[in-house]
Amino acid sequence: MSTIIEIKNLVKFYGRRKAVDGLNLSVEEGDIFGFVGPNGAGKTSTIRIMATLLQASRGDILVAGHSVQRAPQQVRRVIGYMPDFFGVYNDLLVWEYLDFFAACYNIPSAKRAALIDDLLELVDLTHRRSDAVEQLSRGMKQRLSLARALIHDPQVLVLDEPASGLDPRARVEIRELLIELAKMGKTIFFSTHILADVQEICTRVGIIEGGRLVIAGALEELQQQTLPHRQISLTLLGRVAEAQALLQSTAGIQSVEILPANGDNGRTRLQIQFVGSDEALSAILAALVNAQVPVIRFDEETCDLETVFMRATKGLVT
Amino acid sequence: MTLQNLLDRLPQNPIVTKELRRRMRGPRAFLLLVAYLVFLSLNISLIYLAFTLSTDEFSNIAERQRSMGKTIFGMVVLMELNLVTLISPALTAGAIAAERERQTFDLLYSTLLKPLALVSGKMTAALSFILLLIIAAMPLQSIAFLVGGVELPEVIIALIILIVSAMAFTAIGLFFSSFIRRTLVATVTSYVTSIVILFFVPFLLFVLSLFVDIMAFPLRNDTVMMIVVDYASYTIGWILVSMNPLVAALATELMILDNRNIFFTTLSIGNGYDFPVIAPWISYSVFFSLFSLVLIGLSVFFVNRIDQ
Repeated sequence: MSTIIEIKNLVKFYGRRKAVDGLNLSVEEGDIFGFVGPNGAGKTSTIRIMATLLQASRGDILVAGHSVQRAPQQVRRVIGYMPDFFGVYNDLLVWEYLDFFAACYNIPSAKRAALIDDLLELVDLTHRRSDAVEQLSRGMKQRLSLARALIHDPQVLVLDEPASGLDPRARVEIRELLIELAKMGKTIFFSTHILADVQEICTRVGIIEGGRLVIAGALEELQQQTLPHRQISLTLLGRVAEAQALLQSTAGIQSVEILPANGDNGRTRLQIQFVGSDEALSAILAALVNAQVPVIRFDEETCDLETVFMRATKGLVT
Repeated sequence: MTLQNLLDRLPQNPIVTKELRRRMRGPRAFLLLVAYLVFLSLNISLIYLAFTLSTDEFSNIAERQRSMGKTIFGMVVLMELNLVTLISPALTAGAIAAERERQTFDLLYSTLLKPLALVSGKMTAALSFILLLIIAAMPLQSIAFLVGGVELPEVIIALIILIVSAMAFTAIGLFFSSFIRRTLVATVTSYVTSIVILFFVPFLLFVLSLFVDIMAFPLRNDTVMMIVVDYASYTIGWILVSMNPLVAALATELMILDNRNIFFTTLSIGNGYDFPVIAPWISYSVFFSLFSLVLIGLSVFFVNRIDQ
């Protein structure tokens, strides 16, 4: 896979206030990249610079090799931008809205009707084709906006808070659409506050705070980077003292804690803090089994993105 | 080749299509057109009634017919000029500001649409609607032909003044809309500017010509100086005439009645000196066409300016 978005030492000032502070980031082709950060972190500024709507104070963004500063028209050809507001003409019909934007991308009129039908089918709005845009629900308008962003078949979708203000059903629909688009080979770069969405669909995540990238990578990598140790849960049917002694003598294990019993079912739950590789962890399980400790559950507890986010950020606002 | 094929071959501006779809949708445009034509028809009926009832003032029927034709034509052109100067800024003052308010400007800017296409599309759409009003009034204007008194050059000159005025006043609205972010503020500013151009600038020039006359009074015995002063006053007066569509139209009509030349006339400045001047409708059209082009250029510049 090759790098499709490359943010290089990006700086953005608003007067004397620094909104983006030397941001460096790269996104691979085919990624669903979640750009996460608190309000005022610099997400929208970065996205607006990427969409060629805002001038960077310093640095550059390359999209599919084109500089947003030097070749904005080329960048516009390869990105589909969806802002954090609907931006629709309420008095146009749904198909007219898409037809208008198709014409803005110089798509010949002969090709537009079929293209519009395909897009409406993709976003499940075929049945509303001839309705006025103002008659659509919020979720439908958002799906229409997504169809608009796709009208010129861009390589990259840049979405600013695509699920903001939507009800749970509409959020799920947008989420499913993004997964579908990723399967179609689109690279998706989106900012959001909704960490559950990021956790659900993103292949990679970047957390920004105070205009700086705090951490970036796949979710598992972020967990490993933000947590000082791995947390393993064990459930045993007996021989607890033997297991505890064995674990405490094993290299890499920081602590072993017996958790309160969960009902009187003969089970004992242990929690161990461990620093080491997957191979070392596998060896621990093998040692327990060899020592005939009746293990019925051996599981690494993964922390969610919220925990990673809270650990990575300090609550700074630019 | 079908009409559709022919239309497909024409260069298309998506902004024009979108604006016309939005403007002509619903009853608003239709009602405005109907009200405008009913108003014109009522006025023409009143003029017709007034002329048919007052038979004594005219020596013969032909003279009465000619006078009625000229009055009807003059009234329709006057109404159209008022309409153009009143409606044009309103049609464009919100053109770009409303895109910003509606938050669709960013969407347009992130497409491949060029700023010139955006500005020219907005302008063309506004002018198309004004042109529709002018063309719709043509059958009423043609009544003047039926009764006589109006010739084809007068109709063409009136049409040129109307179109140039429509261009200039839509360009004013567009210009303010290109950098003022609120539609209301852009509309008010456009109207204030239009009023200043229509009334204040000619008034200022009028005061200036009076001032030149008063200042020159002590020089009344110096023939050469008086010629220079007269020349200066007439030039100011001519600029004044060329600054206002209504005055330019009236001055042109008087010029045609006087010497029957639609392109040039001569002005006598006393002491037997005459100097030629071009017809007011030409100077008006050239001045306001250039003015429109400058405003369109500035609008493109402001639209093209990326947020800093």
